[in-house]
Amino acid sequence: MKKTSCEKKSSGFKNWFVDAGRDLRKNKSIYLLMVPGILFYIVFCYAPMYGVLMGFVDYSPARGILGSEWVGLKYFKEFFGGMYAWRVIRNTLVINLYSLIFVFPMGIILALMMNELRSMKFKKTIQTTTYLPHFISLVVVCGMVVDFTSSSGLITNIVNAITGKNYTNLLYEVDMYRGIYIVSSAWKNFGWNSIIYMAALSGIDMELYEAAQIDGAGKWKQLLHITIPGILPTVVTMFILQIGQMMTIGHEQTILLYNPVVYEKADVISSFVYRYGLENAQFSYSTAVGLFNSLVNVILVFAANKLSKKVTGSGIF
Amino acid sequence: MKKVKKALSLFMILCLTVAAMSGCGKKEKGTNVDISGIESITENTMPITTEDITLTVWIKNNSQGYAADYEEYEVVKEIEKRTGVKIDFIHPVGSAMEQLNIMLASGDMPDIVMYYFDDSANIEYVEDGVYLDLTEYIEKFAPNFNKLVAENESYQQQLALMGDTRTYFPNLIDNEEYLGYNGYFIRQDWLDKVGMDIPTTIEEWEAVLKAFRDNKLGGKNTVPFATAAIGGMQNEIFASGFGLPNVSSTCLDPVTGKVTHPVLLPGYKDYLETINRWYEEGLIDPNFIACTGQQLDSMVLNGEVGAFYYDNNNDMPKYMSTNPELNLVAVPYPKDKNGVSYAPASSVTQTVQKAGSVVSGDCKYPVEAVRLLDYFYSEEGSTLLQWGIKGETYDIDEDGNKYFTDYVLNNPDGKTPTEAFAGKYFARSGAPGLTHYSAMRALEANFSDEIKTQREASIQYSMENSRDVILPPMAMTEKELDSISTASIETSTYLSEMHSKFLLGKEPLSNFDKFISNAKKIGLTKIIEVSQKVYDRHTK
Amino acid sequence: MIKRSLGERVFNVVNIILLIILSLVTLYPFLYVVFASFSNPLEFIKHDGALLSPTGFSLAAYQKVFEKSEIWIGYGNTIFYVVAGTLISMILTITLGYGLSKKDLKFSKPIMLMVFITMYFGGGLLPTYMVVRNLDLLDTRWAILLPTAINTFNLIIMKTAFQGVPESVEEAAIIDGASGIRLLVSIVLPLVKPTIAVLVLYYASSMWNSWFQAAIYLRDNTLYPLQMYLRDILITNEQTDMMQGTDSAERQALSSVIKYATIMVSIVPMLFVYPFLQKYFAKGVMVGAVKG
Repeated sequence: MKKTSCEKKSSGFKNWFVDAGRDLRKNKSIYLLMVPGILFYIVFCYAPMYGVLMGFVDYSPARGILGSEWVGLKYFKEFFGGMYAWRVIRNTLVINLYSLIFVFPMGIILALMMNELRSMKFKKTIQTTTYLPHFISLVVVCGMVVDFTSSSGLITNIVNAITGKNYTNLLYEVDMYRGIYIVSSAWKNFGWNSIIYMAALSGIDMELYEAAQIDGAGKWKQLLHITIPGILPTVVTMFILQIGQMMTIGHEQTILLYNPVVYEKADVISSFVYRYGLENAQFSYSTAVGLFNSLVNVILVFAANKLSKKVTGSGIF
Repeated sequence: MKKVKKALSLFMILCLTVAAMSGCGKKEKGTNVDISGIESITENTMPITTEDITLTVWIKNNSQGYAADYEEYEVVKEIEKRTGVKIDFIHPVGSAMEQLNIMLASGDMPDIVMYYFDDSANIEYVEDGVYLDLTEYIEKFAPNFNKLVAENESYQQQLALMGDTRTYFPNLIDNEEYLGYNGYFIRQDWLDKVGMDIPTTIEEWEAVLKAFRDNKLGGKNTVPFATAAIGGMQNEIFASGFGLPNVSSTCLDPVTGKVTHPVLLPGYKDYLETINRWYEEGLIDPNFIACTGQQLDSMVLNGEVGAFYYDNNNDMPKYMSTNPELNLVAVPYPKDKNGVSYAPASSVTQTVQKAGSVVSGDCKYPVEAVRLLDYFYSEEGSTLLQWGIKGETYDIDEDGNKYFTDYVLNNPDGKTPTEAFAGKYFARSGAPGLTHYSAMRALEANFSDEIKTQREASIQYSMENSRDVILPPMAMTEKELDSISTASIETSTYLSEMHSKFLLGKEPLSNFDKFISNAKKIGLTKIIEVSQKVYDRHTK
Repeated sequence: MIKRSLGERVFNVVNIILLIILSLVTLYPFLYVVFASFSNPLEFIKHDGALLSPTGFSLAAYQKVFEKSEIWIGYGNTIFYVVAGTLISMILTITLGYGLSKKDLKFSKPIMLMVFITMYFGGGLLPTYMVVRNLDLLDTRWAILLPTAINTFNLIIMKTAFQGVPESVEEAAIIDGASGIRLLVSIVLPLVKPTIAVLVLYYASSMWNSWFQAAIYLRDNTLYPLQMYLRDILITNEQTDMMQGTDSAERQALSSVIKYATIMVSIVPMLFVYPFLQKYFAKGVMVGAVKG
């Protein structure tokens, strides 16, 4: 029994190599084209990956990664053993979830709205103005948000007028922080995000709409049966990629907006590590936390891909 | 799927090979010049060398946009001429700390790094050979530095706290009396209008701020008291009135002299209660927890603020010269029940600074590098950096006192003194070696007398009693550092979060005892314990 | 023309109004920067709250910005990085994306997986730095162009676009004797022009905005891109130093306005690129998932 399975395996290997060789010869020109790109990934993405080892050693610059003392899971234990680990993980997930629910569809909706415009000139103007904030530094955008939400700020006044309450500074309200964070990131990015959907929308065959109109289908029906299915593959791809970012939030925006009063709902993994790293150059600690983030992201993205294949019949790979 | 796995493993092998080739960041050990055979020098005579030597110096560009590269500076050219050493400057852009960390971690060190150093962390780098152990080098090749230290007891005391190993050349300040830089200011015209005197105690402050508020002296948006959330200032306001030096970092207990944390001092609870009440009653700027410098500028300059706690070196003179109607006077720190006030550590600088220079363990010319740095402590070298070039930027009067020329003070092209100096000669901020306090003051000769008087007063106030309670920077061992590193970040997160919540009334004060016991549990007890041990070791 | 129903007309009006509001809201940060950059510095720092027009009028900030020769060097460098970087990125993305789009290639799926993993998994800053150092790229223009040459997200878009090209087109070309690069360049690429336009925009704008690479890998300031100067102005002194001597109020005020003038100088060119590329979008782009 053993022997046969062994033989089978070796012949499997052999066959595989024969197949592979044939494939390589047959598609030589295409493979050659791919070489520079593959080299890029090997050199700039895979070669540095040994760096994850830094999370398992007490990294000392002079001794290098391999020469530093091996400490195993010490930094992971330090992170998870700390009293704030679950709080920052929770906040990271929740803020990302909000952004998936509120910011993600905004780009799509904006694209759909612009798609209904007849005047090309107007369309172009709207497109250009909505994507402008993408080019303005986060420092400046967040500075404006802080101004607008302070005690005499524009937004504070509007909120107070609507709710009838008397908030002094919105960024000191634990329950408002996430909303402000989401709105400000949407403000900066949704126009830019819509570009990809605009491009996808313009790829839909106009004949389909004409046929539908002849059949007497109204706008709503056209939207449901032609437009949305037309951009669905793009949406699915973007959605899966977004899911893969669930554990990642850049520290910059958080640091610019939060304050100790709202740590409870604002402090995320990256800002926590940033504060930690600021005190002393903790390369090992932040590598360990980064590694944990990546692992969760990879798991999430594969799960999302599988789910998407089940539901829509398509995935990224 | 199986095939995928095989391809994957093939790929992995490939990657590992590449990784191996790329060298895993292993570093060659430093060149380690043997200096035991070289005679020590008693005088650092110029030129240092006649050979063709270039040293790379990493320093943040502190010229505030006046110069793109220090190599353009006249003073640098002069230094190169006199010392015979060519200096190649590297300026980080963006976060200097981040880039320094990358340099350190990758082992890619320039010959000399000028930055702010934490002595405890430095020891580790010295042990790893990233930084040169300067102890012996300073002994043998830094006569100017040694002379300054030998003549000044305060330098000696501060250096002693840093342990026996010299890891860096600290920048020194030649003046003991003017080291404070945050202070309280109040509008004298407002005080006159409400007919009150300068407040000294918490009760008096409350009365004054209430009068400011009720009389709406700043119009609709009157802010009786404001501060900016820079360097923890928002956590210091009025603390001195409750017997607290600050509220966020370890200090010495004014009564017992032991290491403690302000939250454990008896006045802290009272402090939270009072400030929270003031906040709710509108006596303090509602944005004070996160007020930016720009926000404070606009409030003060628009005449909305009655009193504030802020920088007295740069911002107060800026306010007074921009808006002469602001009748600002410096006021002492609020006094506690015993009539004492402690200025917080953060508003006083040390004469032996954290800023300084280290030499790389890889430096090929360590002796020359050390002698170059030592030159900046000599009369000649430090005068070059602080005053510029004789006959061009400064001159000496009959009494032997230096003064800046009209090129600096009344620049023909209409440049400001700082701009004239930092644009062509040198950026004095962050300059290595000995800082001449007189030069800094002389640059401001054009200020009105009123500004000068108020500033002098404020600087004096901000140094009152500070020495008694400040925990000076001390060298910890790697083990000690390691034992509190996690505890200290969690504790500081917890303390700042709860502190702000108590102040804004988001957390009822009835939870105060629970808060203290939690803080102790998280790490406060341990941090104090370790700090006490280190303090004892250094002071005995 | 088919007559539109009342509902449609109402929808159109509401749609237009909403879009105008949205574009005004997103236009505001830009307007703020414009107003601030033309403001009188002293009045600007006194100003509080929203800015609806320049506070006073002054060109002092622009004068200061353009006075410096580094700005022009930075401009030149940035244009070089954008052009060369986009070119390199596009070549790598197109060639690799083309291969990955071929389902009959035995290795395309595993390579795709390897590529995909890098989106979420990396060695981090320091090891990447060391690879760049060991390749002797530090302080060269290559350090800006190469380490981020392919953006995996863009690669996926490219790959999907190629998958959208009907197989029959290529087969016909092969029968005509075209193969390899010639097939790609003359037959396939013209069919995916809109995607290429989007990717050029993506690559060019990210190169235009990038500063981090330069901050880490470059020491020679004659190689700095424009954003490095902007960065330096935006992130002002982390540590206040009492020993620097006091600056005049005018000069301090000016520095807060210079910030905005520099932003203006750095974004205006990008405003012109987009409308230029926009016309290619008319043909449509498919960023889709693969069936199965």
